[in-house]
Amino acid sequence: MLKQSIQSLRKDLDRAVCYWMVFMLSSMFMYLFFHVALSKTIGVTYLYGKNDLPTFLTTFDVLVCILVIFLANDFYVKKKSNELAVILMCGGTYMQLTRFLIFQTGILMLLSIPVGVGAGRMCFPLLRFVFRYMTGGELSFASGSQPVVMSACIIGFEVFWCTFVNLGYSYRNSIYSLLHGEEKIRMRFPGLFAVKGGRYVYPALYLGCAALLYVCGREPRQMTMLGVVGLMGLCGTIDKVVLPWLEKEGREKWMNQGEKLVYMGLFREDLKMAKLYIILFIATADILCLLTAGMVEKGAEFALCLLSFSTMIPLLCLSLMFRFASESAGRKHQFITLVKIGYTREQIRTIVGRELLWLYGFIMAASLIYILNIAAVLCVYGLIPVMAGAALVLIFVVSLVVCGCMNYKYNCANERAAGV
Amino acid sequence: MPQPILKTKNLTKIYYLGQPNEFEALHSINFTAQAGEFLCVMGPSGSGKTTFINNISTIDFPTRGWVFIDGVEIHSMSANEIGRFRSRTLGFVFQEFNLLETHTLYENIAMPLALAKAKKKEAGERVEMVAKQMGIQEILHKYPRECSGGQRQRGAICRALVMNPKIMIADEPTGNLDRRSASEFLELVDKLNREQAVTIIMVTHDPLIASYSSRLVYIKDGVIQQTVEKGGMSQKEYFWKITEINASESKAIFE
Repeated sequence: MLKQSIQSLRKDLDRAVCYWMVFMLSSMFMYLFFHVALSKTIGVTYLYGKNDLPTFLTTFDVLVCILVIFLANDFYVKKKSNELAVILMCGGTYMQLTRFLIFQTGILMLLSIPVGVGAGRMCFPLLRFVFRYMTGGELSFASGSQPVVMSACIIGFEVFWCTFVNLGYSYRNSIYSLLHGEEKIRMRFPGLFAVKGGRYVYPALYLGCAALLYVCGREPRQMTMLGVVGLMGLCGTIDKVVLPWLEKEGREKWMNQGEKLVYMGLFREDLKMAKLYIILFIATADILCLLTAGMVEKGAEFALCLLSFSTMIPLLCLSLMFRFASESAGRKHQFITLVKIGYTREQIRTIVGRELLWLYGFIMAASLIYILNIAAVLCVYGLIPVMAGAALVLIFVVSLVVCGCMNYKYNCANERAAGV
Repeated sequence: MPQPILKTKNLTKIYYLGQPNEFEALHSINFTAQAGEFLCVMGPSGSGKTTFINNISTIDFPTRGWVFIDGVEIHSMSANEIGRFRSRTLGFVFQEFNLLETHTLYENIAMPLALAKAKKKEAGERVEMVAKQMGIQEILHKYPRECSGGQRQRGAICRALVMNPKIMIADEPTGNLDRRSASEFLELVDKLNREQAVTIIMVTHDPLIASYSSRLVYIKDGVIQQTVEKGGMSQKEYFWKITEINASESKAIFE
């Protein structure tokens, strides 16, 4: 089974590399984070039930890391369903199936943790420099084994989590559902109520809450509530306004635009999957920005908040890229169908590029409406320096753009590999 | 004498040319199809039927030899011209339907029209018309995953026909359909051939389906081994003739 797992990893190297990167970055960020959080200046110990900001922040970051690994694991395992079905058909037991998956996850994890820790260690000077540049103070790191122990505990929890997910996946599925990809680990955020006139109510909620941020700017907790309500508005806006609009336009306006008809259709499907990520981006950015508020005088806590933001957002971007890169890996038949209809290779490449442009553009615009405004409000009310606000926005924009470019490169490579 | 709509001259296809696993799938095939013909291509698995279909429909290109479609040699066209030519002259229907799962049936059918930059109003009317013809006008807003196999195949036929192609290429189009949907499909294809004079070239394993054609091309080991014209035969006689040809392989084993 171990040999088969290694073969499967090699066969699906692209996805394995993406999954490995998620593990590696999670390990790296956690290692870095704990070195700052457990330093003398901040002093998180978890021993005396002290529930102050660093504790909340640590818990939140760990949750984001777990969620990202969970999502990466979901996509990775889901794409293995045909292999799992073949093992089952050959008489494999569920335990063997589980071992097959766990070996792969385990190998990737073992390969990623040392690299993550090493990369984290190498980031210390950079972090010190950024901290000195932003606050003028010195950032201290925890000494001793505590950060390593904490990171190891969390990563151990990750192992448990992924094992749990893998086990669940293999136990819940029959050969038929594995072959047909019927069983999927789905996460739904948050449920929508049937609202009359939702076409107007949801966008109003979404945009209205963004505008109200300026009114409630002095009270970060109210801003968090506004963020939550705004997210519900965003979900409704996508479901009740954007998706129906895309369907209507496809039928009425893009009938004579061969490329647009295809890439907007693909974007429409992508958007259904991207909704979860937009929610995660906004929620993460919302919570982290608000935790950052008022911490500027406490140099180390402020650095911890910035560190959280600048690690969690790129991690989420990477997870997003992994999701859509995985999706494009299965598009070979779509490309071939398009060629049969009469699309040229050049047109298909345009379709690939435009689809991603719309997707990443939409995610950026939808998230920035909140991230930009929250940062602006915090700056206006003097809760964070303008430089820090700009840094928060820049981190988000740069991470998303880099991941978008990587996604484009990967999709183009897939298009070439399809041999159309 | 009318010009043939499709003609091949010494069509040869070699895979992995110059490599240790070089394989010649088609050997110097000379073939002609007249406009309005209903041709069936049969042969054992691995005989080269799909390779032949791909090479005569610009999906793949011959290693040697020529393919003329409606008087145009496919090698003389650029990639863009081939794309345009394919969307205007040829319609494809495949076993796997090959509809884009991310698009509604309406959008799938409209794709060749959008590619040809047809006027919106005309395109809309054309989609509605072919959908009505195929009986799927009520489900145009649905995604392929929400439709049955028969409905998806009808969607694929609509897409193949929406540009009024001169030739319809079908590779095992009934392979994923139940008997009833398969016979409905055949009636539609037969009607298209008779009423709109669309040239049909269809690969199938089923002698009953092949018995609807006007000519059978039997391919074996990369060459056209036999051609049978329906001519004055009744469908029943033609069917038995096709069955006999197909059974000859199995018979040889016992003799």
